[in-house]
Amino acid sequence: MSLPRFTYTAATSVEEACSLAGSGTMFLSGGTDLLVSMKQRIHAPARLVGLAGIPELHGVAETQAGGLRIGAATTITQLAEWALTVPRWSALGDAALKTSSPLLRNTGTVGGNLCLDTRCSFYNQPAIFRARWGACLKLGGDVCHAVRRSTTCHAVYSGDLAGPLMAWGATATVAGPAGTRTLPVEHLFTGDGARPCALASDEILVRVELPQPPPYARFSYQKLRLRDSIDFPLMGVSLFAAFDGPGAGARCRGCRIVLNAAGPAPVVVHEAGGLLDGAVPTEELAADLAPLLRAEARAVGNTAAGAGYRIEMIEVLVRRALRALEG
Amino acid sequence: MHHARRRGNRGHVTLNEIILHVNGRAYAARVEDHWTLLDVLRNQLGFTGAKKGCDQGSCGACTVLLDGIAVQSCLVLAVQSQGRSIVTIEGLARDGRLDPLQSAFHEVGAIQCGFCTPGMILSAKALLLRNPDPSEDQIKEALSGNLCRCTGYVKIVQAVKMAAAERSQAAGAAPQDVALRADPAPQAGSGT
Repeated sequence: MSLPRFTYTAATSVEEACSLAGSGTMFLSGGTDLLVSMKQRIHAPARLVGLAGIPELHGVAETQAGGLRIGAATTITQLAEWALTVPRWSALGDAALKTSSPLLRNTGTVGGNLCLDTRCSFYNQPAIFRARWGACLKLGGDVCHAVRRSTTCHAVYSGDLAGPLMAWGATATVAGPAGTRTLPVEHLFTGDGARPCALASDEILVRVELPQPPPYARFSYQKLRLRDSIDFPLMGVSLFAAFDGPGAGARCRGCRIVLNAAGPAPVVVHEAGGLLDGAVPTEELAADLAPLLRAEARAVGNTAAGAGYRIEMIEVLVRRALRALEG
Repeated sequence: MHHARRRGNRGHVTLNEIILHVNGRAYAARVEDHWTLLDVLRNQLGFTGAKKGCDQGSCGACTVLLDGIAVQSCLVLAVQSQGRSIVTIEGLARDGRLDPLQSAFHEVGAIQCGFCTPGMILSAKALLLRNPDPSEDQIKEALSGNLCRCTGYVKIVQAVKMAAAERSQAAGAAPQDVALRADPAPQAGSGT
């Protein structure tokens, strides 16, 4: 499969990259997803603007306030290797290692994973299959092959890092022609499978920033996939909680639970987080938490595993996350 | 480091003249922007050790080292690879002697059809460069993006262990390792 012909421009600054945006132009970060979809002729931009050469987009470092700043073009391997050497961020490193395969993490970036296009088994296919089915909502048509008679696109947000970052309360800094703005990571997502990313076409993600974790914070990301070595998530549960002390028996004081790969956008399930507040986490709580998460899931039959199985697995993932947090 | 790109026309096609540093030598290549590093290595420069398997980042057969890091060359543009050190399987042997990983794969019999072998060895090479004494789990993790459809994984892991053990025994007398940096003042090579 060859790539469709395009012109490549390597941007050297954020301002230059934004100024090159326009009709027929796409930004290229690691390329592990975009180049594949271009080979499948899902996208055929006339120009790619490379972001990897912009120094401002690179690096992982703690901030003066005790938080963590991650440049958008930092590779997922770089994030994982850095975080695993710092105990209070090591759980984030573990989560990063659940993304894709080692080879793809070496090229794929944090920003690229956050801004990942949604996926659907009727969409991420070679052109010959798509032609047979006809254009779906995501391709500008008026039909959803996954859910007949649906007027909205059900393609699944399949990034891994959004869940963990939202659970940690991360913000995203975005640059555009009018300057920069900072927003919660959850606001990067529209909830529309056809147009999942809330950035304007001339905006780029510059960095994400995590606040200083509270004392005794614990975190777990549990991911469902067919092959543990490579696949996109079929369902994901991120659980971040502050505790009133160390070890087993400590009570949860503030908790955020995020569901990803359950629909067109990752979602913070506030009620579930509230339910855990004040409790000592035990596996038994999974039965109470799972219905709240299931209510937010929008799984349909458009991934490598059936929707019913994915929904059933939410409780299993919650139980595993609670076990990881037991201390 | 970026090289000046000279544009020339061949019919309606615009070609960029770029310099790629492969296995310690500089090669001139005339490429289009949309050509992958894999295609240029194979079709322009003759480094056919990098295999074209799935061509979409799933199989690892096209693995090369880019500045010492294992990447899938089917998902890297040739124009993005200028000024960076590229190591293919052809660059591992030194002075007619196989790299310890190559010898170990041969000795253990970690090769069946051989199609995945260059990628396997280069992923293992990247691992040993960063972690000379990996555990079995670390070896499996490092190779988990490289698929062997003959499913000969047991011997592949054995071979990497053997190479790591030999390497640690020979520590101190190790030969010059692969070129991990692009030569800052390259000699023009014999690229096509």
